[in-house]
Amino acid sequence: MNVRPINILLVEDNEDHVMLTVRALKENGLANRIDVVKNGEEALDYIYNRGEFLDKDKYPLPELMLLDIKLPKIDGLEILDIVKNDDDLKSLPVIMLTTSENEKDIIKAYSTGANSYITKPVSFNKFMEKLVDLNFYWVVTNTLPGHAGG
Amino acid sequence: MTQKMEEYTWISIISDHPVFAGHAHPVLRRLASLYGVNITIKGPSDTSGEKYIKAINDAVKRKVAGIMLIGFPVKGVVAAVSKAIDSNIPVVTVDSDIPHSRRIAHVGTNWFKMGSGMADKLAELTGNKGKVLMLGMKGLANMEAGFRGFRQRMSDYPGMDIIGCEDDMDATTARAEKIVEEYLENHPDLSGIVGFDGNSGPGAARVLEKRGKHGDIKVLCVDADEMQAKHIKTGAIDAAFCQKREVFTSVAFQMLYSFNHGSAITGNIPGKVNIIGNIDTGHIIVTKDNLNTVEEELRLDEIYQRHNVIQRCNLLTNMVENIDSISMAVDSSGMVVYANPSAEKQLGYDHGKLVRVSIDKLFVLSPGIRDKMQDCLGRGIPASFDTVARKSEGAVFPVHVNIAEIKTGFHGKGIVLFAVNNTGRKRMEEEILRKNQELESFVYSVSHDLRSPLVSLYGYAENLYQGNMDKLDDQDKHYFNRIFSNIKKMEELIHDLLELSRIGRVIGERTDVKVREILREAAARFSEQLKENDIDVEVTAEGGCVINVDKKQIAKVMDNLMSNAIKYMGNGRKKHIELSCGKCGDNTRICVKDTGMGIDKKYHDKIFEIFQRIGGGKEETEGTGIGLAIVDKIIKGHDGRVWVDSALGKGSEFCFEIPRKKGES
Repeated sequence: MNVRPINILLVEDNEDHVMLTVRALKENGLANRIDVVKNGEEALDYIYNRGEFLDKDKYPLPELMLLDIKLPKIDGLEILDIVKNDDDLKSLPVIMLTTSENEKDIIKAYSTGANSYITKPVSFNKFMEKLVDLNFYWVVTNTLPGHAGG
Repeated sequence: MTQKMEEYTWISIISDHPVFAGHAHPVLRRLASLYGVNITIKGPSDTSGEKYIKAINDAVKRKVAGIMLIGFPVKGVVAAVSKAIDSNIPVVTVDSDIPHSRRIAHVGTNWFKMGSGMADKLAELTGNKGKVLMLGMKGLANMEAGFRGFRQRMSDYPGMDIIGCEDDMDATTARAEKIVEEYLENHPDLSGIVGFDGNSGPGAARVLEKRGKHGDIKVLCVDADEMQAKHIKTGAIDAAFCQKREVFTSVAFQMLYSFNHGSAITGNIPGKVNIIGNIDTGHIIVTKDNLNTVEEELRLDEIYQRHNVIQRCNLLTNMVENIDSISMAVDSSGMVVYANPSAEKQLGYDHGKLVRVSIDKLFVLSPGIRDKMQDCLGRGIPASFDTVARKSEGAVFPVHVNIAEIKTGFHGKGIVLFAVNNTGRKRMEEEILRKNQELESFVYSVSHDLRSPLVSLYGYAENLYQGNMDKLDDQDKHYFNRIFSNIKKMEELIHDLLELSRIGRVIGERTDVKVREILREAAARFSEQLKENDIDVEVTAEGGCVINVDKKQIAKVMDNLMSNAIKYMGNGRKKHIELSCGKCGDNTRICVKDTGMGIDKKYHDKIFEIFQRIGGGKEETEGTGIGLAIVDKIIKGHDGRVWVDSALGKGSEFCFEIPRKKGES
């Protein structure tokens, strides 16, 4: 499949999942650059260029955020809420990740404005297939915000 | 200080008729001295309707304390009764009723019952054969009821015929005699005569005695005064059906008195709530055998009935007084007229102090609850509701309340109310709600935390496998596949367990769904697997088959049954699955039938329990052992049942039944 690598922010607290996701993203040529933060607070610091992510050039707004729902400190749905209610950020595509199928979470995520929702299958190959599909979708049918007009 | 004596009045047509002069008037005189009131006897000595109405109107003008009225269907009587009621004068009809009037109650004999009793007696006397002549005064409410009762019961005796209901309109013996003479001429097979008014029985008896036919033709009459007794002795009257005139006369007066003065039990509050309603005082049968002892029998009958009433009263009193819930009677204005000791204790009132308290002060009554109370009072519809009770010092507690009308034959007298302190139940409900929420979040965590490591495990194994594909021998690859399939099974297990825990707690919305759709969709979902396994599927369902279910849950049931059918298909020659639907009594039955390996009968119940697997042993076909437990839970949640019909090697048929909605064909 013809995909264009993009800049991704992965918000994930499970180190194993981070390692496997990053590896899979790279192997599939999906990501140009992947930054990883481990909790909700760091995620907000990153997108608002606060704290250790102060440098706007070093930490530009990603083109896609992969956001785990269950996170320490501030959970994924809260971050989603903040992003989607911020006029400057709301066009940032957010894909929610979760290991459990909880109908309430799914409904909440979509009603808050999540662009997509993936229940992690046990197989990372399957996971990547889903992501590739999504990437394809973004690149072909949408112009990612970072490239709008450019 | 002298107070003017209250006047109660008794009014009838032919007011000095022997049945009145002999039975009612002496009772009225005794009651007057007993209660310290004045009881007047009014109404014409003839049959003048005008004078009868005038007597009522005069009583209203005199502002009497109450009217006992022998009901005659005279023009203007309903209006006269209304006028009395509108002037706050209570009217009780005695003996004969005026059913469409606004009288507060009627007391007398239930003539319908007496009429059917006469039919039974006559059939017994005639050996259930021959023709019967009926005599009576048409248009009188009590007699008409007697005719109806007699006719209705007579239709149970095929050997007997009613040949006429002659109107003995002026109720004289002479008139009765004339009619009976005529009938004897024209109907030689006459076997019985029934006289519903006081004179027609004796009239018939006299004719029969004259002709020497007494005893051959059986005669029944009402009342057993001297006039009738004479013929009972000769055998010309076989049985007399006696009303208890003394009893209903005194009950009528006591009702009026209670209406004005209340009674101790209801806090001496006057009003309708004291009126116990329309009363049947019964009747007694007088024959030659008991003619001399009838007075005694009447008395014994009274004692027996009173004993029954007292026993019943005693039992009910104990139930109401000793029970640990609030019990009250409230009149139509919402005022408490009775409260049991528990009500006083729980609401914090001294003994007797709840009476005359308004119900508004004791309970929080929302508009919805007020509507229910109005419906109860006006239309007799019982109801229950949750609200809050207020103690005298202001504290409140939750209660569950049941209300019912005080039943008396007509509406609007009052309400009985039972209230139970709800504090414990409310607390328990909250506790259950809390526990459910706890469980929900527990399930959520478990589902996340258990799956997370599996995702990692699988991921690393995949990486290892793919990264070293060229170095792995067949044995190694087999081990990897075992790792993968075990992780997948673990995942499935977690998934099914969570599903099972979710079902039953989360009850989805029920909608009407066409069964044919459900079956076709289920077959479609498995089309690939069916093709892969070379299984053909057949859907046979009537188009009209509709069930009211949680569609998602029933789809889950179908999925589990379908996947079982595929998993356990085996390698038979013919691989076939049939999905069918039909009506079975009040239920709709859906079946999944396969030509697979089948299940030994001894496992038929077990397979619906959790973690029971009796698969053929091939690991690929083993499930989690939860699928059928889920099926069972869902079907039971729909008030249905599920079962299997199968034998080893003979295929299986899984069926479930769900009750149809009421009114559905």
